[in-house]
Amino acid sequence: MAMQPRISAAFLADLDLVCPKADDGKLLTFVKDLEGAYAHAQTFSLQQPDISVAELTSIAEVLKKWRSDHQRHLQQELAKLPCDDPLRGSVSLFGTMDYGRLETAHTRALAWMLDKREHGFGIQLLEALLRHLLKGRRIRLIHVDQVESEYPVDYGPARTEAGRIDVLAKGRWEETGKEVSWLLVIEAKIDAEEGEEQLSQYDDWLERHAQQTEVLRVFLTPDGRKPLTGSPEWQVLKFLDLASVFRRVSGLQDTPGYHFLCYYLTGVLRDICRLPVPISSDCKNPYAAVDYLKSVLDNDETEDGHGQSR
Amino acid sequence: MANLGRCVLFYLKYAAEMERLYKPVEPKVEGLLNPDRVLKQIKLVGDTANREIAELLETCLRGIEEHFHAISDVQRIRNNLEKTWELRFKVGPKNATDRRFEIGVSILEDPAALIPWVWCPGGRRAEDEVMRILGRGVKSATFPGWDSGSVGLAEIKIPIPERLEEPVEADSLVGQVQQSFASFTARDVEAIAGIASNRGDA
Repeated sequence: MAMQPRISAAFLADLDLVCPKADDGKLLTFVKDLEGAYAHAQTFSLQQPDISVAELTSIAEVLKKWRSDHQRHLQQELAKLPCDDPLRGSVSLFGTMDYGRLETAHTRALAWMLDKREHGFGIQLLEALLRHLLKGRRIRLIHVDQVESEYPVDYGPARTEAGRIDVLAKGRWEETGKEVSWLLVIEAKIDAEEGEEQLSQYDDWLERHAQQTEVLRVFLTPDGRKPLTGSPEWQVLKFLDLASVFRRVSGLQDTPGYHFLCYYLTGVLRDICRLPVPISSDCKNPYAAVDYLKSVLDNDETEDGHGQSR
Repeated sequence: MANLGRCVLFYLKYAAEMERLYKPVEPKVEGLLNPDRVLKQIKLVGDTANREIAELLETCLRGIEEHFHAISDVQRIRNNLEKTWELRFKVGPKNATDRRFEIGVSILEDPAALIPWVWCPGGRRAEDEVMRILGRGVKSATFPGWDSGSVGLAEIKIPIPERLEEPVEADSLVGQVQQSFASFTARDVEAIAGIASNRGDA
């Protein structure tokens, strides 16, 4: 049985001091309520079972075994990865400058990699991304005419300020024998929220400027959250999925930009996705690492039809 | 509060396991022996650890409040310490209560540590300014998930003993937390509050 709580004389004296109109009965009611609440809390507290050191030690043993099973599993999964895989990397491209989660750094680098530039990737990364977004469609002969970061968009006469689309790419592809114009817009958010009606404004702009064009709208975030503004056409894409798409692109090892890409992907995994990269079998959270490796390797098998990673 | 509670120490020692088994609504128990029994125990350990953490932070509270009362206008931001593991205050100069920034203490799980901090609106630039004014601190990027504008004043490691029955003194941790705020002066408060009010001009 719980102890009957007592209100101390000092407490009552102090209460009388700060609340002098005690004689109107309100104070007595308050004290009774307080006693009731205290008694309830006391009873609740006494009901909480105590946990002994012996019990804690026994749970600890179970957890240690569980951890070592995961570490062993992780070791097996890691053996499947090449030694220069971004998951094994220790250098984050933007982390070195404390810009690991800086949106503009990421979107500019992304635009650079998607474009046909000095990195030597050609349009392979952009093509891989388009094919991921258009899963199941039979598109071929993809041509890229333009890729830009922070592309300025005019919201029209009603609005004075202009917006900037993080990444814009356009070109043509062939589908069922017909040439189709396409436009890809990517809006990335890492820590920030969308601006007021930001994606709706882009929708309006696209309505005016991308007629007779197939528009792919992508909202790129760490957790794949849905945008708060904009039309339902915005597809969500996690940074983790973007990294998975890029790491599946094969044959880049001899290109000048290969190491840039590896450092970029390591940074995305570590700084944006918060994964314990470089992943090793003795990492502090082998559970998260196993989950991620499974998802990446399963994804490789699902999309490529074989288990080869980059 | 003389020693840290055993359940807190257990929680911090097995942070990855607690994250998987205690925090989610649907814990992932794949490969775990006797999952139902373990989950019951984990729930008890986690709930107790939360209460012990709240008690530790409440102990830190008094010294911080006293110090800042003397040099500033300080107001505690009420939150559920058992859930957030974070103590927060709004601070501003005594003569200008419209210019405010925040101070607080958070508990990191990995590595297990108490982090006294300052947060000021203005992002990374504000971090640089706060560090310049105080002549110390580490940027938010050091701590995963921290908002930009935050500066850690110290990393007070919580020693995790090999055997859980070994006591870990809480008073010295509390002392270190209070010490990290002790050198704050009214002039520092004035200067940091100035960053908060000037951020639009940068």
